[in-house]
Amino acid sequence: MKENANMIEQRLKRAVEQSTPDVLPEILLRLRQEGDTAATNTAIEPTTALVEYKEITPKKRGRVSWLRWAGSVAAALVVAVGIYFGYGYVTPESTISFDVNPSVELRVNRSERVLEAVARNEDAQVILSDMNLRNVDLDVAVNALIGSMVKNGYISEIKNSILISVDSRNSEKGRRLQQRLSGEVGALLDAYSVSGAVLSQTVSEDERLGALAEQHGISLGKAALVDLLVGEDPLLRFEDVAALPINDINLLIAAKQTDLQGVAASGQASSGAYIGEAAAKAAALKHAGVREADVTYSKIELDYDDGRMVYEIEFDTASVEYDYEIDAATGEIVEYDHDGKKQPVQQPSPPAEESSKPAAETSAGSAAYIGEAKAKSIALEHAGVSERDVRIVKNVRYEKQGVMRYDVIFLSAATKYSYEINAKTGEVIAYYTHALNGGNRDDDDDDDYDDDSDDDDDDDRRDNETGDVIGEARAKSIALSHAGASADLVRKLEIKLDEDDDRLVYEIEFVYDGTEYEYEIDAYSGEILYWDSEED
Amino acid sequence: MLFLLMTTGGPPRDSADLYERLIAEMAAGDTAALEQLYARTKSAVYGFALSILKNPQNAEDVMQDTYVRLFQAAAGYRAQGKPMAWILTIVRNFCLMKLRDQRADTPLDEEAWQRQADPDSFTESSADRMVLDAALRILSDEERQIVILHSVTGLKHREIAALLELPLSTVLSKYRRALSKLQKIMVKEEAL
Repeated sequence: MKENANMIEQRLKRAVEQSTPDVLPEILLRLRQEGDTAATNTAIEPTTALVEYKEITPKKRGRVSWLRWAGSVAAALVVAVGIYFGYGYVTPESTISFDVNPSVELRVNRSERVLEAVARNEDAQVILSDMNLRNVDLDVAVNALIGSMVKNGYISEIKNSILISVDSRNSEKGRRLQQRLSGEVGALLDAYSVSGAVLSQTVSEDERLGALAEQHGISLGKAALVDLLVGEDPLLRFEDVAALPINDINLLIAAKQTDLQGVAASGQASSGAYIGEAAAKAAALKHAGVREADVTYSKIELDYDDGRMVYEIEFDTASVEYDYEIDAATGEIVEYDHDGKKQPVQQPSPPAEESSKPAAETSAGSAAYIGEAKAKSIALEHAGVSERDVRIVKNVRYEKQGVMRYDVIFLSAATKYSYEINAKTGEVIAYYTHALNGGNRDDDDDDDYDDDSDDDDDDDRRDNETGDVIGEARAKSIALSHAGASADLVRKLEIKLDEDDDRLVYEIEFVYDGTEYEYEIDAYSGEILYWDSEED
Repeated sequence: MLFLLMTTGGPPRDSADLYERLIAEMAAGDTAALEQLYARTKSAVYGFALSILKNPQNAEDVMQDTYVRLFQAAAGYRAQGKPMAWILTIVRNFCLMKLRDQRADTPLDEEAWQRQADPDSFTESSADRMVLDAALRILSDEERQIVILHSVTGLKHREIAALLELPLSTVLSKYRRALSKLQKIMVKEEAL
């Protein structure tokens, strides 16, 4: 007995439910690690949290919140120191953050002595590990910090940006601090032969930014900078940009000409870590097989996409528009696309010329037309490819605007070619080329095939009248003979070409002798992939 | 034909309100609410991820990523009465990202699959398991996603169409085709 659909669904549901794993503990653990302070679990004490951090390697920089641990230790210290030194000296008047990759926070008192130095991420741990900044004068501390960052390679000629964010109870003092420190840091970097790009700003407690900072494990100052960039470019996600080092963020700001608003900037971010625009463009041209001399228009911009810094390059020749995305660090081609501009080629052909082309290999019966085989070879020759290297997907004769033509479509490994060939003269009426999936981009090329004159064939490929390779007729006969049906006794025959799973299949339905049949046949091999029959 | 009038595909509709309340609580930082939402939706999330990735380990990873993201993004959720669609969209995005990161297709590992089976209920659910195996092996990508969404998550065809970005007519015909294929398998297996 056939199980009905409901029973099948029940089975699926039960099977899925039984095999669903339980990952709740891992989920809660990750949420705690990623610094969501609201995810309180009363069973966890600070010391336990410290142990967990040491055992598990954080996946991304800046994701681990040291604040809770550092905060509780620092709080204890502050209390102790406060009792000893007296209230006025231990209240932090300003908090200054330095962000490069490492994110270091200095809390200083009225006399500009460092009350504590907090590492906000793992890289900062490295920086602070061999220094004790407590009670040190601010300028000395900054000197030590910058020196350590340079020594450990976080700042260099090719990664020269640093962000200084000052949060002060006294806003006038905060501004002066900001200006002074950015000058100081610039001078310090010069002394290390690095022409730094120094970004500086004053920040103050902001609920929205604070939540974002906490959520992504970055400082408030960095969150403010990320916010600027993300606010201007809707394609950038906060969490992606938050993970980038300041130098990349600075490069993006420059590339997109973002309005820095309250952020002061000096110097220029170095793109030395990347291959450079010239090399990127050269790589793109080489891949496309285009010479610089043939380029009529081009544009190149550094950007961030999909987890990496890339150069976005566009260039045109007379007949094709190219788009490339090149990995800025490796020069690897991430994505590419080229769109053939429509090329009208046909000259109006007077009827007298028709007889000059003998229909040597017509497969169709009509002698006046050149035949599918000839149309195919004309298209292949024009495209400069051999039949061996391509897969013919469509080859059909049809009439449009009073002219009989062959529509020939074939695919090479990288390109889709579409040709319209005059069925009588063999002249190429129009052709398009389009790059096949060159990377992550989905194949969204249906628009390319929409003529001005509304060709139905191209609206929905699944409704195509004829597919090729084995062809509808052959697919039909495979199905019919499998069913033991004779063609003239078959009713309600439907056949269509469908694409699913990157596979082309013919879907065929018909009624024969009181039974309804359904078939799915591989469009290339003719293999029966699926069939079904049911009493009508 | 195979037209279904009613299926018990998933949780009843009024659960949408419950889910939205839980999401609001999650936005306030309440992990107990997350646990409740997790308990009610984990099969839908896992099943859908599995239907896209076909790999239990990857589906499990996506499951984790999804609930972590749900919690973090709960504040940004706008209550429009379709919490399940929001959740499953997040699942789908993670799955697509994972597919892109892993160019090589990791087909269903039969052994890993069997290992995951609950040994106690294995014999009772062998027919159930058979259907799921068949779904993972035989159906095309879209057929599989559609039929698992419909049976496990409670989404209606129209919602499935929106989620998978397919026309409704395609969803209906692939759904029909998928069930038909699965029925055929059941008949074959039972006849043995």
